[in-house]
Amino acid sequence: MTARLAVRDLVIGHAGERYAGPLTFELEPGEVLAVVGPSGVGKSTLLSTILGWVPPLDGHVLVDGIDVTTAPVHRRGIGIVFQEPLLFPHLNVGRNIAYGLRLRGEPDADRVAELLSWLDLAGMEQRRVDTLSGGQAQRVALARALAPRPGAVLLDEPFSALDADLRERLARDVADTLRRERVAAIHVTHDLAEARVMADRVLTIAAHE
Amino acid sequence: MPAAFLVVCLAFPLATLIMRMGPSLHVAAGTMQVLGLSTLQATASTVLAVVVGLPLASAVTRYRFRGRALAQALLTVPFVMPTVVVALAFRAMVGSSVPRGLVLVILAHAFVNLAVVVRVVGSTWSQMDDGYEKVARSLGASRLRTFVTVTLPVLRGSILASAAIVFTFSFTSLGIALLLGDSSTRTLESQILRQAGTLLDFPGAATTALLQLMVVVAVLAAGGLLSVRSPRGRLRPPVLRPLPSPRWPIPLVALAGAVIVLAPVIALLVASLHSAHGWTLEWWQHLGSVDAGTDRIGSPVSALATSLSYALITAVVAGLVGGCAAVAVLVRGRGRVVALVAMAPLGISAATLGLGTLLAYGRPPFDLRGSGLLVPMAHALVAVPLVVAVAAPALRAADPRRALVAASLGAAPSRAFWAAYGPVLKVVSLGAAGLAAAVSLGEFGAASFLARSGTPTVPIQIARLLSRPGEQSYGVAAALAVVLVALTLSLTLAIDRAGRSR
Repeated sequence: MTARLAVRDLVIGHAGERYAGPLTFELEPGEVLAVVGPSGVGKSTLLSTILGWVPPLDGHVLVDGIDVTTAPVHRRGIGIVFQEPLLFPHLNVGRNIAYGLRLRGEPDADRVAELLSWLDLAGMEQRRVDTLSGGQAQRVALARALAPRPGAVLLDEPFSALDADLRERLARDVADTLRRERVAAIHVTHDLAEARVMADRVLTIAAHE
Repeated sequence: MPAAFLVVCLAFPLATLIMRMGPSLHVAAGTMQVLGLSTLQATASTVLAVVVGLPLASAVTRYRFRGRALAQALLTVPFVMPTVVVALAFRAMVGSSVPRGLVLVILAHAFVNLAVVVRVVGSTWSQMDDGYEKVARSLGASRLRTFVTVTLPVLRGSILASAAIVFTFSFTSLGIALLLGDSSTRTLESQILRQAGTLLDFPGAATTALLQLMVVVAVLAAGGLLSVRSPRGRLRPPVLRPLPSPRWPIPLVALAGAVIVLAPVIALLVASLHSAHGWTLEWWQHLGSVDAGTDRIGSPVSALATSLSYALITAVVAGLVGGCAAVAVLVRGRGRVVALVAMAPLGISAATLGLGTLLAYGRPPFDLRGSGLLVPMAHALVAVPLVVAVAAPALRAADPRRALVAASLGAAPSRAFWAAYGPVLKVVSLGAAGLAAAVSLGEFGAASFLARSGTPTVPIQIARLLSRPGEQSYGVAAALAVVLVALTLSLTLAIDRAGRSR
């Protein structure tokens, strides 16, 4: 089976300075890789590099077997969720989730309703995003990232701003949704417990010299 | 003190203005035509300033590259340049290739107001979380699509706020509209001057002033309301980002901004050093002489002395009144009301203030025309809101607990107050007074009503020189304008330095 996301000999860094690598791993459909490590080690840079925001110093990124290393961000089929939900403030819940689908001209109503119901947000399409709780907003951010059916999603400490209780429940719901959607995911976190709840494998990046 | 100043310098002149309109409110047909034309002109100027200002705001406030700070500083220069000087610089730059009229006026207004867009929008943009763009791109949006569907909506509030300010400045423009425009670019401001100065139709002028005031208040209120109601994205402390690849477009945009700013200034300098026969210092030599073609309108150097003395009075009066109003902000209740009223002249155009002051204090029983006080009075009124705007936030940021500590150690209330706010007040009032002086040096609208023919201010002198034919008048006007730019820039830089050292 072709891996949904493959990283081959990827060296990450910025302006010639090497942060980590070479890294090699493959993620099957629905597989979640947790990335842990001390602050400043380059975990977020790893995500930015896979996303295409920061160029790699070396190596390749493949989505569904296609090398996207030099493809621009919007042509990679990789979604992202940050620590802050960063919902578009001028769009309601439904339109936030439909954003990626509309860009491709795909029908969106059923897909939006489906994702909302999976994430316990059924019927909230018309809600303004500034009326959502932190947990609801983060679920909408995940639904938005999953809506266009990406090959992989990158989760950059998505639960760290939430209460401990909520964090664990949400981590479980998100892991279920990722498996149901058969999307590969990389989950950057400081919280080993959270990593255990969600991840199939754990990658530890050590501090560089 | 601020309350007394506002009653004498603002309330009484405005009341006189309204009384002079007479019982029937009659708006001349020509005035309505001017209203339409200046709305069109101001809209076009605003659109151009925003379209050019947005990329500049992005380049100089969001990315880290060599020369960024210089480009950012340069972009504020047009805003502190007196409008008469901008008009002259534009004439020097385009020569006779672009005839006077709408195009030139719109270009000059956009030039002056670039700083407003860069400052206001740049402030929000530099704090906008990058994540919005990353998310939109990851969902399949191209850079352009991301800009249109995500960045612009998040910036909408600050774009609207800056647009309302630019519209107001362009709509109430006088110096640029007079010196670069033709009959198609008349503004209500120039109409007020014409009705009062040429036609001696004071009721008509008062009605036009009121009409203009209503439009300005409506635009500023609508801008403020729309801005507050616009969706706000998540902001975080501004951090300069590394240049995205390819690296060259952003420094190139900043360079283009620097060229836009410097081209008219350099053209002005060249005009002051050039005649039909080549390079010359002749125009500079004429600055001090009473004759040489400028005899009938007084010597440029005496205009400079007049302007400097007005600037000094304005600085002292506006510094004191504005400083007191800013202190009043710290006090609950009536103090805040006074501070709010002190901001009112911001919405009232300079010509309206000038006309009101002239009507109130230009004839018996309060005839102050011979005193030389009318111009600095109006200038102080224009400057007070700016002084409050600068001083109040700085005072609010000072820690009031210092006063408590001082009082607990036995300091009397005034001493305790000084312990908390004195150091800030000293620096801020100096900076604010400098700002008031800079405003006074370049102010044209009120002075065109109030400056006496024998003692014009520098901007009035420049306008008079430009209204005369001949190379010499033009050259001397350019030299005088260079002096004014140098003075204004030095003051602005000194204020900036004082602000940084605080």
